[in-house]
Amino acid sequence: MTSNATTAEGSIVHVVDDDDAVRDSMALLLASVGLRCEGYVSAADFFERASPETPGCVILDVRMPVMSGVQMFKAMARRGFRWPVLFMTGHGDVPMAVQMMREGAFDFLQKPFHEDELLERIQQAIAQDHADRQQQADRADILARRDSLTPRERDVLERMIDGQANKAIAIDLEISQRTVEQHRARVMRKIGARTLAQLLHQMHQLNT
Amino acid sequence: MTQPPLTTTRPGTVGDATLAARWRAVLDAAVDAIVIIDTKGCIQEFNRAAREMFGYANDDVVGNNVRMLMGPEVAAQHDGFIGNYLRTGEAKIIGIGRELQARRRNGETFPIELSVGEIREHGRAGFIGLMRDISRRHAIEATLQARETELRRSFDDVHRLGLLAEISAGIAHELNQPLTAISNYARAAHRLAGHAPLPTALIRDTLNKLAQQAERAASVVQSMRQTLHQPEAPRQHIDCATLLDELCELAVPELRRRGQHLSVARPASLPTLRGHPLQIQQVLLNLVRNAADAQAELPMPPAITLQASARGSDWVAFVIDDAGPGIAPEVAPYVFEPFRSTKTDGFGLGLALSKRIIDNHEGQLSFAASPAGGARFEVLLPCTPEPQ
Repeated sequence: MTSNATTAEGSIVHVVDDDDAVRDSMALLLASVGLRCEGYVSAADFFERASPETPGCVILDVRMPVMSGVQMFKAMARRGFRWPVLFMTGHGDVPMAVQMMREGAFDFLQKPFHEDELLERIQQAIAQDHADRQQQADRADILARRDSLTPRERDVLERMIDGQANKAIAIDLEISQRTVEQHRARVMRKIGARTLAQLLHQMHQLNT
Repeated sequence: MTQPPLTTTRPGTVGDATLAARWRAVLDAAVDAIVIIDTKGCIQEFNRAAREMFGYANDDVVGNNVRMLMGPEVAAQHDGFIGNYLRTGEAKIIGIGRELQARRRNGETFPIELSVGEIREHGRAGFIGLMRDISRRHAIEATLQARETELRRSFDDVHRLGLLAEISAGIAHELNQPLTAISNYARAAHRLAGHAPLPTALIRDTLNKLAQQAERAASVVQSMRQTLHQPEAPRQHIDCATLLDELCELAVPELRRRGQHLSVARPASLPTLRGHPLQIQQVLLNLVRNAADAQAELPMPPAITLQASARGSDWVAFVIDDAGPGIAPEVAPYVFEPFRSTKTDGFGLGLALSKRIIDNHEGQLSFAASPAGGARFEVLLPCTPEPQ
C-alpha cells in the first residue's frame, strides 16, 4: 500500500449507496486506512456535489431507487466524469456485471466484501485514475506544443511523421534543403523531442 | 321370461323339468351374481356367480334373510325398504340401480352395483337382484384420485418453491446491506485498535453501530419470518382509517425524500375489512412506491393519488393513480408475474407478491390506464359485517 500512498494522496473515494449504514461504515473503514471518503445518498446527490476535477474513484451500489447504479454509470460518462467505477452488487448479477465491465466499469465487488479485496481494488482504481490523469495532462501538453508550430513548421512535421527525408520534403514544399533543416530543428525544440523516435512517440500519443 | 306355464305341458312346449334345467343354466351362466328373494327378504335362488362373489354355498344362504349379504348399514334397513315398497308401491331401487356395500362370508365388505327387478307370480311377489362386484373399479378410481391429488400437491410444491425462491432472493438483499455494514465496522474497529493514541471513543462508537446493524439484520429475519408465517396467523378486523393512517406514516416521508407527494381521498367512514393488516399495508405501500418509481423521471411529478371508497355494500376499493408512462401493452400480460420487472433494479417481486396477498384475502388486484395519464392499480377487498 505504501507504493500507492503517493497516488492516493488527495484522492477521494466517492461512495454512492442509498443505505446509510453502508455509507457510514464504508467511510469509517476507509478513514481507518487513511483514505478520504465522500458519501452520496443517490445519483442526484452525487451529480450535485461531486466535482470531477479532483482525483479519486467511485464505488457505486447497483441497487438504488430512482436512478440505479447502472443508469448512473452511463450518466457519468455523458457528463464527463472519468473516475474509475467499482460496482457493489448484493446478488451476484453476473450478466449485468459482464455488461458493465464491457462498458468500461473498473471492477465488481460483491456485498459484503472482504476488506483486503475492497482496499486493494480501491488502491488500484485510484492508481488507474492517477495514470489516466497523467496521460490526459501529457496529451494536453503535447497538443499545446503542437499548436505553437507555424503552418510551415507543421507542413514539415507532417512529412517527418510520414518518414520523408529532408531532400524529399524540400522538393515537396519547393524550399531549400537548408530551410527544411532549420524548420526541422525548430519543430524538435518546440515539441520538446531530442530524437525523431521521441517525436514520433509523442505524436502517436495524441492519436490514442 | 314370459309367464311360464307351471302345471300343464302343451305340444311344442317343454316340461317343468326341462324348464327348470334351462332356468338353472341361465342363472349359472350369468356373469353377474343373481339373488332371488321373496317378499319377506328370504333368499330363494343364489346363482354360481353369487356363490363365488359372496363365498357361500347354496345351503348356507337359501331360506335365510338376504341381510346376511349386505353391509351393516344397508342390512339394518333392508326389511324396512321392502315393507315400504309393498305398502306404498314407491320404488327406491327397482329399475334404478345403485351402488352399495355388500358383505362376503368372511365378513369383508365390498362395493357392488345392484339392480333390482320385481317378480309377480300368481299374486306372490318376489325380487330379483343382479349384482356386480365393483371393488376393482373402485380401487382403480381411488388410485387415479390419489395420483391426481399427488400431482396437484407436487404442483403446489413447485409453486411454493417458486415463491420461496422469490422470498429468499429478497431476504438475501435485505440481509446483505446490514452484513456489509457489520463487516465494514468490524474491520474499521480492528484497524482503529492499532492506532496510537488509541481512539477509544471512536472505537466504542463504531462497535455500537456494528451492534445496531446486527440488530437490524435480526429484525429483517424476524419480519421475513412473520411474512412467511402470516397465512397461518388468524385474520383480524381491519379498520380502514387506521390502515390508511399507518400507510401515510410510512409512505409520506419516503415520498418526500424523493420529491413526491401522496394525496389520500377517503370518505368519513369505510366498512371494516378482515385479514392481515400488515400484508394489506404492504400491498398498498408497494403500489404507492411503484407509482413514485413510475413518476421518478417527471420534472414536476404530480401528487400520487390514493382513493379509498366503498364499492357496493360488499367491497372496499383502493385506487392508486400515477402520471408515469403507464403499462406498456407488451408488458401488460406479465405485470403480476415474478421476475418480470421493467426496472433495472429490483427483482420484480412486488406485484407478484401483492397479487398473491390480495388473492389470499379473496380480493382482486387489477390495473388499467389512469385518467392521470399513467397507470391505475385497484385493490378490491371484501368487507365484513361490523365486529360485535
